[in-house]
Amino acid sequence: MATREAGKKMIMLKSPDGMEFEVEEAVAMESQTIRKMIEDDCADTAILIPNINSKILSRVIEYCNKHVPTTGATGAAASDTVAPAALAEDLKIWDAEFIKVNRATRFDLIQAASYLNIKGLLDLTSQTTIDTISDNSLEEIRSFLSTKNDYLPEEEQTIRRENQWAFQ
Amino acid sequence: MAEAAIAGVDPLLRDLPDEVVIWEILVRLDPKSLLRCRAVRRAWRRATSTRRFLLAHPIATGQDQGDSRFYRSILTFDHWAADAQLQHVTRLDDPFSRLEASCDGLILLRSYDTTYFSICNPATRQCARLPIPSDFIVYGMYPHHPSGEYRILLYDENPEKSGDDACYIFVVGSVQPPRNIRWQPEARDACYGNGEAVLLRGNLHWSVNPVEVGSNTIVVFDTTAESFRAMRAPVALFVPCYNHLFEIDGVLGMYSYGHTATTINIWVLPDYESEVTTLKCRIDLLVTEIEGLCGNYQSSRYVVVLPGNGDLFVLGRFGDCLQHN
Repeated sequence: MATREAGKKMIMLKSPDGMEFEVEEAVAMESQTIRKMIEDDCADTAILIPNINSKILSRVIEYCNKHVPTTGATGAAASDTVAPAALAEDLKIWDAEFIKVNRATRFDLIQAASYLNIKGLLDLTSQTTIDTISDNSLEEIRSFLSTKNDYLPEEEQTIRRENQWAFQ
Repeated sequence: MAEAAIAGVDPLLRDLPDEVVIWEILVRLDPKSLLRCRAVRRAWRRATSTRRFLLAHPIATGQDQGDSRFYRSILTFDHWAADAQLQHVTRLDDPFSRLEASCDGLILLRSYDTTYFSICNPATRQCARLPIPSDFIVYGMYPHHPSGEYRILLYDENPEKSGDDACYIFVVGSVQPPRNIRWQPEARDACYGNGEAVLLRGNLHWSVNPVEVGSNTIVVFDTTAESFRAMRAPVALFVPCYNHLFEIDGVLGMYSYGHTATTINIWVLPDYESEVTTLKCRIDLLVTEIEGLCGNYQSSRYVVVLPGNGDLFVLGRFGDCLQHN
């Protein structure tokens, strides 16, 4: 952020554990929730982000910094010389690295993305869980998501039979 | 929060609120995975069966292919939401040509090649073919309270097969062929109606085209007695005239517009028994302004009136533009 241009409006975001983050307004507005607050003039000095601790909030800001369009956030010199397709490819690789986190962090990020309404981050963070449910057997889903089966064996058989094609 | 209460004390997933699991994860699953995940545990099945998954006003969308038109997707227009918008509900494996009727979140579809009917629950993406002859005309679908069954009212105008035109009733889930309830004269008038039947106070209602029928009536089908009768309708103010019925807060209403769809008249029937309608309002659609915004496409102009939360919404299609007032 050393090359921050003069005249760019900054916004202060505060986490409930007392940390403050100064971010460009455009970066903060990647969140539709914050965008609405700014547009409704509810964001004079600092915005308190409830329920999102500083560790998760800093990661969310990191994501928004990377994904905000048309700023130098993707690298100061990159936007002049690199083609859009290459930029998109670069973002994909960056995203893949970004989401290499443990389950608890990923769930915290899903909640943060849901509350702050950041579509790209929500897609990215929820996809792993969606893939887990889509790509695995029932037993594997229960094991991976640490959730237990509370059906009686004959009930489970009935539900499986109802939608036979989905289990083939 | 209602879902959380229904789902019980056990969360759907540890460390994630049920609201987020349902509306950010389960809702994004493809149809097959969604059906499969219902067998993971009870709470998952309940969460994917709640009322909010069931949407009351399905609208179909689709694509043109060659000279025939068919659809695969079910959309809803949630006119109660502050940012009213079309939402994608589901995508069906078998393309369909027409959404024939809907009732309590179930929809009745005609297949793309018009050779069969199927009943579909968009919430669970479950579909089943129905043993109804493909040349029957669907009049409406209703819950038959005495039996607790969903029934479909049909009309067959093919005289070569059975001799006379007749109405039929098919019980959803039954393997029996539709039951003949004989010809009823009011039924033909409903054929000249516009739009879907409106279900209210245990009756199905159809507006009729006053020009075709020669009188201003609403055709009524009593879903308990399973018989037809006619009811007085407001006077037509336009020739030709397009009449449509709607229901708002338990009151039957009708809107009507002429060929140019520049003005809409809206009536309501506050006292159902008296059959006396009152002209509620007259809306000028500011067509010039709308066309300035959306382009001038006279041929595809189309208007619907939707009730919601005590208000009425006028939703018009002008060319490629949805106008929401």
